[in-house]
Amino acid sequence: MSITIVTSDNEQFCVEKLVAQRIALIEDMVENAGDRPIPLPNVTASVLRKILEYCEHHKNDPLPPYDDGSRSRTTHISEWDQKFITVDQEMLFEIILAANYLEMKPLLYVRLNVPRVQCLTACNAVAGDIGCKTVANMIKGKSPEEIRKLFNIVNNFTPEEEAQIRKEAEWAEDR
Amino acid sequence: MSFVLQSPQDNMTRAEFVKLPLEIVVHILEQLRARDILAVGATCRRLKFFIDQSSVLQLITELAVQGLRLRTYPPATQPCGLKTMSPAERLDALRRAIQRSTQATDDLAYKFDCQGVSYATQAGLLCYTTRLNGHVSGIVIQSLWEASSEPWRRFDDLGVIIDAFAFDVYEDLLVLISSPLTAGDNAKIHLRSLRTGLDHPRASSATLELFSRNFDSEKTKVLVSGHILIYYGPDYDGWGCMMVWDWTTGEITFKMLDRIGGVAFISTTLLLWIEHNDPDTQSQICIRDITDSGSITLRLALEDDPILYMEHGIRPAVFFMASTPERDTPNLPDDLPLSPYIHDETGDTIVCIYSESMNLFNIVRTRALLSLYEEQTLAAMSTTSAMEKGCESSVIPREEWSQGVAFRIHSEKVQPLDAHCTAISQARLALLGFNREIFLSTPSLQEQEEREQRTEFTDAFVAVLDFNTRPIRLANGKRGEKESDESSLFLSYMLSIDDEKVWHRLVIPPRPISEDQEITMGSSHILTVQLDDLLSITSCSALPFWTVHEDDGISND
Repeated sequence: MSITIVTSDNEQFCVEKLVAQRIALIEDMVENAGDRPIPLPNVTASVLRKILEYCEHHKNDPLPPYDDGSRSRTTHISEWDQKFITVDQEMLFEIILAANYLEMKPLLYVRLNVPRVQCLTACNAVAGDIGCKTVANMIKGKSPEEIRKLFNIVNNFTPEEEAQIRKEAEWAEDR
Repeated sequence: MSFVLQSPQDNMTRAEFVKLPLEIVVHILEQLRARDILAVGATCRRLKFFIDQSSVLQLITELAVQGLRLRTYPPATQPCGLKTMSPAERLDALRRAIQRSTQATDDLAYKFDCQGVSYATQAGLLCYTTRLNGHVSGIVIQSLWEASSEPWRRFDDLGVIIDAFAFDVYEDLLVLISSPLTAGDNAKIHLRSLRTGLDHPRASSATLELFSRNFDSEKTKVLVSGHILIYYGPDYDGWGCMMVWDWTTGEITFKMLDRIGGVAFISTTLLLWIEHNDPDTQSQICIRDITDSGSITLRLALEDDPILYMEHGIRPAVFFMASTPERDTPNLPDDLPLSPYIHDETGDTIVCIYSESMNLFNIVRTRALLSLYEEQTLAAMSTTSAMEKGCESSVIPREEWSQGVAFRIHSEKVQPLDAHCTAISQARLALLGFNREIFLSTPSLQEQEEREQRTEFTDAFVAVLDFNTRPIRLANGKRGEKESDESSLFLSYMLSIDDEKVWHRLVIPPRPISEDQEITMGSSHILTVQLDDLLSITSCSALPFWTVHEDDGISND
């Protein structure tokens, strides 16, 4: 059995239900949609293709148990995931945003400490999560100037503010 | 009419890091260390605003100021309902605990009679020996984190007379050293489970034999890190042997049978020891990755002028290590109340090498040693000849390695027994002395001498040297509202007055007691405290670092 999804750029995807079920937002919408195609106005075809590729690969993974806040802070990423997430920066952020839109809720629940029995959304949460880990790894050990260059950030501090911030951050230079 | 493939509008909607919503930015940054978080905050206003808004990121930063970080693997049972506390509440509790800690009160204190017993700490656990029928044969393991005074484990009779011990909560390991019962016997090392007190299930042999020799059991030292077990047995002259085992297999992996003056871990696998090879040569600091048989041994000269020190018959010995290496693993016992915070391994720690005959303290930063070791390893790998030489670096003269890494303080006036020396929170070192100046420091020699003339005989001296370079006041008070929030220093020390030995905890307030009582030397303080005052403001305890009783903190509201 399959479901049809329509992206923001009007591309239609025919998705196996087992795969689509890994995406919480779709899981919720399938109930009401009946046979009609499911619109995803915030996701482009190229991004959805990536997300589905991830869901397809992980469709048989057991859903992780309820996350009680002891989630690992390590920034380790498995080999397949590593390859999957090797994309340009724009796509990387698109994936993170899409995973968030398609309900990256478990991560938010962890922060707010709202109990939730099982995270059906774990799969795309993890897709977003490996994106976040990848970005975190990109930041590690860099200076503010290097981070600006990396992400194309415009420095909008006044020189005085900048001097103050640098002074505040000095103590943490090597930790 | 023509169409460009990418219109300016498209450009505006391009996904970029700075355009991510707050919760995603926070989620990315909370996986990082304080240093990286602050670096991101220094890039632009929007990101700075996000970081200031997030209590998780604030908590990570404030913990880093304390030399701590969040534990990655909390044990299943946490006291104080920590799991249900939001980062904002934790942050609040942390701040209150820092504030509260400036007043030493009995409820914060932990006290035990340490007459003839020894102790060790790890991860906020205190483990000390107890007596049964006059023999030291029991162990108590107390969580300093848990509000209750009930010990986590108590073994009154472990069936051996304990000369020395060590423990590693991550390996569930308790190591006991027992003297030979009869003259012909060998001393033994017993490998027990910390949870049960019985033989350790993962050790292929529950006891290891130590060869028979005359060793000074008071100075015997046992160290554990992962699978590595180290025994250091000094002779009565202060120099002795070092044996390294893989305790799971019972195999000796490394040994030095003589001329070792002290030993300490500077990371979970790097071992530091003091070696004195020949009467004509200098004492050396040796560093080696003890888990890797092919690794180099880095040798650093301890003295710059061996002849001068030879005349004094210098006998350095590693007096203490500032903090034992900590690891964060999922293998922690379920019912163990551990601190949810762990020492940040990227923070600086110090090793104090104490030369008894000259009353000379050599204080060395371990982080600098670690990078020096890395440098030398890389250099050795690039030249095969160095590898052929048996992986030994030539001795690096003191002036070449010690700049900004090590320094000395000494006084010939003080008998070693007058001085007590202890570690507080990583790179802080405290020296405590009675009656006289504990040491003289070159920069303020004259100042000290003047002060000494004014000093009453009943004065106690506490010197606290902080080798961490973080400006605590600045970091805590960055919004100008918490100027007084500078964290105070904790000091655990043993007082030995009239044969009564009790562990004490001294809280040194953030500000000097009065203007004329403090001399500042860089980041160090020397406080002159009247002995009576000292005892009255001292609650008896031995805290390796502060504890936060967060349930108290919350209910006080």
